[in-house]
Order: sequence, then structure tokens, then C-alpha cells
Amino acid sequence: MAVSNEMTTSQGNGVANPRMAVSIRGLVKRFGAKTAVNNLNLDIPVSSFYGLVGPNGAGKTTTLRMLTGLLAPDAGSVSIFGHDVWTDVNAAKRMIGVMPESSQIFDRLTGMQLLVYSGMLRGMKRKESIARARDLIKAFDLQDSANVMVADYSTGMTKKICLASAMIHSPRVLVLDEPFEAVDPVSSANLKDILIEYAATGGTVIISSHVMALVERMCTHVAVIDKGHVCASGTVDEVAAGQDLEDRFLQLVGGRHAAAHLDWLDGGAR
Amino acid sequence: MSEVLSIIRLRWTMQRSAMRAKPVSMVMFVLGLLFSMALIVGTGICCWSLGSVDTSESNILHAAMLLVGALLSFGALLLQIMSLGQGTVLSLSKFELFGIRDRVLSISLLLASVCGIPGITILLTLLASGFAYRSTSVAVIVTAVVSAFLAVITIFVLTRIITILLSSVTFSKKGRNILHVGAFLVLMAIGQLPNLLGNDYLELLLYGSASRGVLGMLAWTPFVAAFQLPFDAMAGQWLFVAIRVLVIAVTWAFCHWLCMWYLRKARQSSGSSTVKVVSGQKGLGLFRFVPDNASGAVSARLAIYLRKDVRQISMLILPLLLVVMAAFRGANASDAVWQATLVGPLLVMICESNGLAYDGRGLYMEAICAVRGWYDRIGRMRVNAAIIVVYGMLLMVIAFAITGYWKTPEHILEGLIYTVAAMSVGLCSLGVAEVVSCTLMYPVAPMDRPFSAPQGRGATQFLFPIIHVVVSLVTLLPSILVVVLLLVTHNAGLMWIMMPVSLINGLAVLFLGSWLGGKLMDARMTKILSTLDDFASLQQ
Repeated sequence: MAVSNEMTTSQGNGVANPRMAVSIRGLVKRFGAKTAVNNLNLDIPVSSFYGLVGPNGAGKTTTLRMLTGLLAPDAGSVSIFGHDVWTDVNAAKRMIGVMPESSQIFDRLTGMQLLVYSGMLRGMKRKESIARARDLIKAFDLQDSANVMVADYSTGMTKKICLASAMIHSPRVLVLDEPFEAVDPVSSANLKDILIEYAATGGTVIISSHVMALVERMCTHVAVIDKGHVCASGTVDEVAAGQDLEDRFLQLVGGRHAAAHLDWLDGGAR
Repeated sequence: MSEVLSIIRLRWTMQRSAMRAKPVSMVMFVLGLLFSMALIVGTGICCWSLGSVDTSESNILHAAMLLVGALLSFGALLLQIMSLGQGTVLSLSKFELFGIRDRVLSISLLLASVCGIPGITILLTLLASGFAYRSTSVAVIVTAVVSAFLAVITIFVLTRIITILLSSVTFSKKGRNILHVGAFLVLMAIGQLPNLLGNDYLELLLYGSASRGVLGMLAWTPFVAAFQLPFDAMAGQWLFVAIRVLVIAVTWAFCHWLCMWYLRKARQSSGSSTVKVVSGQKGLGLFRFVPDNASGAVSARLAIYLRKDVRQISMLILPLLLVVMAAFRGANASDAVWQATLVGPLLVMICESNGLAYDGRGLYMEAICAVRGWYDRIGRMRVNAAIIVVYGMLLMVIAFAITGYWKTPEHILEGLIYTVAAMSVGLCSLGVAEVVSCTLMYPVAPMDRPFSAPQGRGATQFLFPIIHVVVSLVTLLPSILVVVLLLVTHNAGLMWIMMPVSLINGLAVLFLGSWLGGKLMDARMTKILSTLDDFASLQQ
């Protein structure tokens, strides 16, 4: 895939690419006077582990919300495996798994109940939901807390149960907003293994993150988003262009400046 | 001193910021200000006109002032108990990083809370009530002024200490909920006092020897002592003045000591409360017994939540309370009891008319999982209809027991007609709720702080439930018309027809409402989610 600062041909002609897991064209979203997403174009290949990176307020979360059918765009289109999301939003949602935020779940259910609830909402039979919920609880090391209310979970445990609820129906695309934030290193490593294995079986993972090292290590592809549009996209190597990804990121989005040298901030040494 | 002033300034800075961020906060602030001014001016005018009253009327003033003092003190404490767990912006924990001495911090926070609109309003109102003593001596007027300050500070000291006492006891979620429901019931019972005491309740409270005895005793407690001071001064009983001031001073000192103790204790046990609680329910609970589809999942989730949601449980108690209260209505008690069974379901479904707001951002799960609105509505309808039917039967049994209508066949039939009609009211109300909850949403208190007031949107919180009730009554028109027809044509003997008629009426509205609600939900899902996000920000 050609990179990067310029759009590929299919992106340029404004037609969604049906061979891609996700194809975004001319996406725009405004909140009052602020344009959060500004003519964003992006193709996410099937079976890729795709990282969306960008500074705070760059438009990553807004893009993900429009991609997952939770926020209607003002202009542009998003298609998943060639199906336009906003033509049949429910059909698109059935193909993807979205990790809810901790405040977007019913946390007075136990972990087990939450997963079965998630499965049954997806139209799965109870028996199948229970079986998969048990597998997920084991895979995410939550056996001891299966019958504990999610409201009593730690932040890391809550992240895990949210991720599990997004995976229970075995979606073709997984969309995760900051999945490793506040997760301890051991749990994080286990989560990564699960996601890498999932991508290896043909699943597509889309994550947003601020942690460049994590993106560089885990993702096959990356898109740098700033001020609502894509600054660069492609494989991690293509975007990094021979540099460290973090340095390249800072180069693309700017904003880095010299230390402030505050005279009064001397730590008592002077 | 600078810390004290800084914290008071901080309080008002935050108030200004809130108003700048949300225009609705500004509107509420201005309305609150207007209400406060009306109260102060109204009290001033009333008390000025009382300033030249004779001794017999000053006795009424005495009883009234003590009554107001008791209501103010206990009302504030009750509200504080109900909002237990509410993280106020000016809480002790918010300042623990700044190295402010405990004593200074405690006093600063107390004064900052006194300097809010409620504190200033109470103070100015009490000062305005001092006009009532203008025809007495200067000493009495000075005592009244001092007592106003003492009363306000004491009320805030006591409410602060009740928070500390209740917070220091490790309440389980269940225990906390029971406390909330208990406080809610006491408030409801107080609201029903005029009905229980009859039309002369004010006379009874102001002139009754029993009430005077109780108020007299309360005047020796810190709750009401400050309100008694001007009357002691008027009677020249300066020793009593000194003793009551001492009671207040000891209370303040004790509360201050308790506050210091709490700060030390909180520091020692900080972070130790994050203990995992294993749910009493092993496995799936209700998820095992619901239909095996998306609507079944919605039903199981809703039923589990209703059991744990004290905000809605409190409303569930209302119909029972109304029936029990109606039983004390004297001669017309029987009619009142059965009529109360008709009103109850209407009130219970008020919560469901804002059901999505009660669920909060959890609705995202349904949006993410692409659940059709119709399935959501069926799931909710199933649980609420079951509540209406089971509760209706329970109220029927209670009403039969209270009224003795089980003794004659005519009365049994009458009771059954009332019961079916009550269920029909509930079903109509539920059907309307399924539509209204997708359109006319208003913010509610968060589940873990059930009685805290969500900021802003006061008008919608008041107006939308009324709209729901009115529309529900309109949907009952077919049944009402049949009743009118039977009465006008002198066919009261055929009143049994009301059972099938009202049932069909209720079921039709329920089905139609659920179908329309489902369609609305599908069409408005992104808008609903955005509204819920907005409400969540109001609960911070």
C-alpha cells in the first residue's frame, strides 16, 4: 500500500474500496463552530492491526464513533466490507465489535451476566452466549470475579470485561478506543496476545492510542490523525519513514517546544 | 484567615464558572435568587405587620418560630441523609493535597457552605423575622439578630456532622439504600400530615398542648435552641438564654472535635474501602428465566436493575403508601382506598416514562449491539406489565382487607372492577411511557447517589412527568366514556362491562405505545445517546 501524506488513488477519487475492511471517504463532523473531523479519508485492510494515533482532540474518537454507527456524520461515508454504515447501520454494527467505555455498560450486572447480556443482545442463543462467556472469562483471567458486580471491578478488570463483551459474537472487525489505558502490564500482555491471535485468524483490529511504543510494537498499520484529518497512513514502517515512530509523529503533528526554564522552579538546589 | 477567604472565593468562582458553562445554570441561579428575595421580603413584611401584636398573638409567633426552626433543622438533616454519598465540590478530600491545617480547613469549608445562596437566604430570612420584635426592647432585637447567626451556623454544623457520622460508618450499598428509602418514606409521611391531621392541622400544631410540649423540649436541643432565644429575652429569662447559648456552643465544639477525628481517621484508612463484593447471586440469575432472545436480555437486565435501583424502588412504594394513608380518611375511607389504587399505577410508571435516562449511558450497549427499538420496548414492557399485574393484585388484597369489601358479592364485584381498572390505568400509563421515554427525557440523579439533585433542567423534571400523566389520562378516555355512559343511562348495574372494556383499552394503548416507541427509538438512537451523554455530565 502506497503511503501516506498523499491519498491513494481510490481514496482520492472519493469511492469506497470494497476490498478493505473499512473504507472512509470525505468524512466530516462539526460540533457548533468546531470541525472535529475534516474531510477524513482512510482505508483499513482486512486482517490488519490498525493503530489510530493523534494528539488530544485530533478527532480519533469522533471518527471511531462515526465508523461504528454511534454518531451520524455531517458528510462523507464509511463502509465496512463494502457495506455503507449509514445506509443500514444495524447490519454494519453486526459485523463489528465495539469495546464500550466503562461508563457505557450496565455495571450492576456481574461480569458473567454482562457477557451473556451482550451475547443475547447480539441475537445469540443463551446456551452459546453462556459457553462463550465462560471461555472469555477464563481467557481474560476473570474467573474469581465472574460473580462480582462489575461496579466493584478495578479499572483494569473493567477494561477486560468491556473488551470481552465486544468479542463475544466473534466480529470481523474489532474497534477499541484506548484499550490498554490503566491496564496492568500482565493483563495488558494477555490482552495483546488475544488481539494478535484474533488478527492472525483474519480479524481486523482498529485501536486508538497515545502510546507510540505500543502502536509500533503491535500494529501492522498506523494512521496519524491531526486536526480532523489524516496526516499520514500506511504500514508502520512506511509511516515511520526510517525514523522512530514517536519522532515521526512529533514531526507530523508539531507542537513540541523547548523546555520553559522557569527560574523559580529550582528544586531547592540553587 | 487567608485560607478561609480563599475557599469562600473558590466557592463563588465555581458557581460563576458553572453559570458561564451552562446557560441553564444561570437561569436556575436567577430563579433561585428571585425565590430567595421573595422569601426574605415576604417574611420581612409579615413580621413587620406582627410587630405591634398583643401578647396572645405573640404566643402564636413563638410556636410558629419554633416550628419553623424544627422543620428547618430536621428537614436539612433529612435531606443530608438522603444525599449521602454525594461528592460535594467542597468536600474535605478535595483539599487534602494542599497542606491546609485541619482546623482551618474544617472551619473554612463550613463558612464556605454557609456563604452559599441557601445559607444567606436562611440568614436574611431569620434577620427579617426580627421585625416581629420591633415593639419590644433593644435587648430582644439584638438577641434576635445574634440568634439568626447562631441558628444558621448550627444548622450547617449539624448537617455537616451528619454527613461525617454516616460516612464514617461503613455502609453496604444495601444498607445505604434502606436508609434512603426510610428517609424518603419519612418525607412522604410528613407531606401527608395535613391529610392525616385533617383541615385543622395548622391550628393543632400551633395551639395544641402536645405540640407545644414537644416544641418546648426541642428548644433545649441544638436543633431549635437558637430560635427560642428572642422569646427568652422577651420574658427576661437571661439565665435560659445563657444555658441555650451554652448548648449551642457545646454542640459546635463537639462537632468540630468530631470533624478533626474524622479527618485523622480518613487519613489512616484512605483507600481501604475498595473491597470486592461477591454478588449474592451465583451464575446468571434472571437471565436463565427470560425468553431466549434480545428482548429477554433486556427484560432480565431491567429486572435486575429495578431491584437494585433505589430511585425507582421509592416510587414503587408510593401506591401502597397512598392506599394506607387513604385508610385514615375517616368516613369516606373505603372509597378513598379504592380510588387510591387507581392513582398508584400512574405514579409508578412515571419512572418508566424516563426509563432511558434512568438506564443512563448503559444504553450504549444496546446501540453497539444493534438492538431494534421494538425488542427493547418488548423487553421493558414485559417487566413493567408484570409489576403492574402483580402489584395490582397485592393492592387489591390490601384494599379488600382494609375496606372489608370481601363480605358481600356486590362489594367483591366493585373491588374487582377497581382492580382491573387500576391495571388498565397502569397499562395505558406504560404504553405512553414507552413513547415518552424516547422523546421527553430529563436528567435524574445517578444510581449511586439516588437523592442528589441533578444540576439544571429543573423545568423539564417538573413538566415532562406531568405531560406523561396527562397523556395517559387522555388514552383512558374510551374507558372513561363508557363509565359516563353507564351512569348517564342509569345502568350502573352493568358496570362489570368496565372490566373487559378497560382491559382492552389498556392492552391497545400498551401495544400501540410500544410499537411507536420502538420506531422512535430506532429513528432517534444517536440523538438519545447524545442526550444521555449530556445528562451524565450533569451528574458529575
